[in-house]
Amino acid sequence: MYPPKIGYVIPDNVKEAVEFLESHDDAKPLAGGHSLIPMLKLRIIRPSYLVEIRRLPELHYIRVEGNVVKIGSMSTHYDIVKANIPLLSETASKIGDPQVRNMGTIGGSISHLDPAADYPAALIALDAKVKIRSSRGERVENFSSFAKDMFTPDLNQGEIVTEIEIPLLKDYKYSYQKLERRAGDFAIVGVAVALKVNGDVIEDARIGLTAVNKTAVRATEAEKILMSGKISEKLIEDAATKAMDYANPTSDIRGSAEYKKKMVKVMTKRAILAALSR
Amino acid sequence: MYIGQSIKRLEDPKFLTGSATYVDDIEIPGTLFVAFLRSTKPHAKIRIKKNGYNVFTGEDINPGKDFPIPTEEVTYVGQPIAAIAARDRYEAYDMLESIEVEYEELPYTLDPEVALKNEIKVYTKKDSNIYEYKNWESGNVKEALERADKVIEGELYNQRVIANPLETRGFLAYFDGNRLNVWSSTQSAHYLRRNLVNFLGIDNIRVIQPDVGGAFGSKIITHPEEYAVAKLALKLRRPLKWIPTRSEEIQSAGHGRDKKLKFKVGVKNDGIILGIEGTLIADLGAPYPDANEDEIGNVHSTARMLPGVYKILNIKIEHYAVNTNKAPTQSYRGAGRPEATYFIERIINIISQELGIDEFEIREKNLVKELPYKNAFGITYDSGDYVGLLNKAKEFYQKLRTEAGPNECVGSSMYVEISGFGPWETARIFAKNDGKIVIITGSGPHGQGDGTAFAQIVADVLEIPIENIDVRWGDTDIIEDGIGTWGSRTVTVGGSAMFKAAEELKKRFIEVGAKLLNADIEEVEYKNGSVINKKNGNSVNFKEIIDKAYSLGYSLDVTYVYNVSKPGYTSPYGVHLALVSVDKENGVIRVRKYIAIDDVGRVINPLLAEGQVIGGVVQGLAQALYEGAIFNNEGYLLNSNLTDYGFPTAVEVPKVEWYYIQKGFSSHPTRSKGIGEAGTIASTPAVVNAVEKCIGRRIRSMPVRPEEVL
Repeated sequence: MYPPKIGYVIPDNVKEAVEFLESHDDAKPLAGGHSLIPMLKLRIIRPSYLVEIRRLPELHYIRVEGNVVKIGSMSTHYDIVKANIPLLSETASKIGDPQVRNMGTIGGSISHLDPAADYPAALIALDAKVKIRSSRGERVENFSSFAKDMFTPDLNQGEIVTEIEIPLLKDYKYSYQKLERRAGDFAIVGVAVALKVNGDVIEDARIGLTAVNKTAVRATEAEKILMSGKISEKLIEDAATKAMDYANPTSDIRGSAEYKKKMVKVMTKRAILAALSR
Repeated sequence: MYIGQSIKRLEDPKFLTGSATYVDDIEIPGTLFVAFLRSTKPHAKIRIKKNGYNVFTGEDINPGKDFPIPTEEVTYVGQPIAAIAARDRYEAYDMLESIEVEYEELPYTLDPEVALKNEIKVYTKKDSNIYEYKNWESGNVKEALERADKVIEGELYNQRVIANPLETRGFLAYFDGNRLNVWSSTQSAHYLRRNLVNFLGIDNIRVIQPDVGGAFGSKIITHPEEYAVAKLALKLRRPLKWIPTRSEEIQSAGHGRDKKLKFKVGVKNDGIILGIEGTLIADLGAPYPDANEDEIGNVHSTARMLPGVYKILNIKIEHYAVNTNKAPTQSYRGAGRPEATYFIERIINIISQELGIDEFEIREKNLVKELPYKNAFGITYDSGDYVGLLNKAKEFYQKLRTEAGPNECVGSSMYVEISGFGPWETARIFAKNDGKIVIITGSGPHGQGDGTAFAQIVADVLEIPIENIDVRWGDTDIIEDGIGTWGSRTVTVGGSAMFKAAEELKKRFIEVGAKLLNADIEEVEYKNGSVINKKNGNSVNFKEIIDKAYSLGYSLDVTYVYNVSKPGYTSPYGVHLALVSVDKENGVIRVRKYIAIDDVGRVINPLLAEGQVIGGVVQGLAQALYEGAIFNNEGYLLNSNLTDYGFPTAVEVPKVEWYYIQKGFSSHPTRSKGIGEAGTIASTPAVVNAVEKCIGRRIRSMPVRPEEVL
């Protein structure tokens, strides 16, 4: 309940923030605070300083530029819900509860990398890119390589995520299906699907899975099945079955590994059907 | 008449404007904050190194003993083992990290069936882990099972759940050099005072129960931390406040239920129950005396209420109440009766499934038809019309069944309950010279809205507007004594005390009024707060009477002690119905609709009674589908937070419809019966029965997890 003692820094801009973070090994940037503060309250982490980046205006934007969407890392889940971005907005709408969505940010979510988080299913499916800034400049990584392992982003001390870039899937049909015991929970299984449909054929299929691996994965073979013929019940069934191959879940109090694996099929099928009926 | 009306709560305004006062809202200058270090081992010898000031151990609280605070031996994870007093809560939790504990681990057991073999000692200073063994027996079970066409065997587990009131426990104590002043989030100021008097050996103690954010049984007993903080307050002579964190609360308090029944039921092919034989194993957790004494009464309730609403004459229940190395179990809403109803109503459903006979038909055939009725274990069901209510419920049941879609099933349960326990309760009523009537109850409402019901009762007796009444409770200085709020007793027993006190005050009004009118008592009548001379029509009103009473030598301050006569309880009953959907692909279960039909005697306030039903139903369905303490092999509670200990949100809660009949009145002046716990008692089996029908397989344990129904 009570965080350990901690110093607090309010920088004027991103430059100041990253400089301070670089010179203080165990300092942590504070975004929406809805993963960091709960960890502090349990004393799971004991950083020396919190560097508040939440209010830096240069990290608050959502811009559509041609075929891409650029999202400032401090955009809240609620900002993203409102922005009507294909797949991503629906995914954001299912995070936590309204109060969490009012504070939590996309930059914070992916820098934290809880393996049961919602965004990664969509971001992996969208081939998202992550822009990272340090005092030495900027680099851009694919989300798939950025998410190195659970709770392990590709971030060095002194680096922060400033932007997430995704393609604008204008003509896609999509759905995010989250299996949860109670409203507001983390996902037991989450499946994000985006489909480009041309007549009775799927031209492009993207399937992202969360909560069933250390990091989110794309079920590429399942995607290939979907693109391999005319849309039919069997095609969907086969693709959903194939998606199970990409799940390597663990047993915990939310369900057994076996159950979760089965649910990948059920939720993938539901996501495909929900997307197609859109 | 206010009684019987849905009067809105008099309690609401202060809560809705944030001006209520819970224990952590109270500030006394110079207060130190107390935090407890807790055992991380289920069973061990301990040595504590203090490393600093204001650290206290069992030796400071109860030298040479292991309860309430252990000096040598810990018996559960989460047990408080040392206290620290600091300037504020942040500093207190920092300082807790400086206390060193050496554990010498001892063998432990978390399973009551292992514990009852007594091969592993839960607590080395106790001879046996079996707190109590009892054999309840009536009729001839052996012969009944032999006569049966079919004997169905099974095992049912009513799992350990945690009360989780939104406000945790909390305690503030200040010894002013003369008197110990205590504020506690408790279910009864008076009962807590008695416990503190016994423990501390002083009697100059005032206890205040401020606003309390729910309890559901978890705040009846005096907790180890409360004894410790009270003792430290005498020692330190500084105000001391203790508020645990939610994880501490979940780990150490409010654990309830946790009973297993192994049964054999003998039935005729037509569904007539000939006899039941069972072994009941109740997990009491660690041997903390206050909790064990509380829970053993609940074990008796489970055993003795097991026959339910049925005429089961041949029944034998052996119970083992067993200590284990887990947090001690306590009362939780229903306190033993939910387990009884769960077991018998699950058995009814199982018989129905096995014989292919409709559950209502089985109920009808076995139902107690004439009241009063004394069940096989001597519990008297006092009044009502079981047949009538069952028939009424059947209509709703048929209707719900027509509403049920594919993969949806309707489950039912019928309960009889014991409520309104004695031994007595107090009420004090006095008139203020400004015309206000102040009423004080010895009970300790903490959310149930009894204050409004009391005002309704008194307003009716005195024939005055309800606005003229101020309701108070929860301070041992403002009324002689009291019992408390639990056992669904407050409106009925506390209300009857209020009723009688109001009648006595009315009598005094009449006496004073008659004197003021220079008339004999027989010559006057009382009407709407005025006393009228029947002959000449002269009258004095309420305010004039109050104004003149003292000068005529009358006190308008009445205390009434209402004694509960034998058997010491009264029995409401009802039928509950749950329409449940089971997603056959992902196992997600939802209660879609819920109907409760109850007879709780006279309903003093239907709005508030319905509120109790809905709240209880939600807790009961949560036990069926969401809640349950999960321990790992090291005795750690794995779900000691609100993410993992899943009580439902508004999304998981169905529409609850409530209907009531008023056929079975109690013999109390209020004619009411308790309803505080009924919803929780009835809903768990109704929901599980529905799921069992949907999946066509027997359910043994709860919560029913999605993966189990696939």
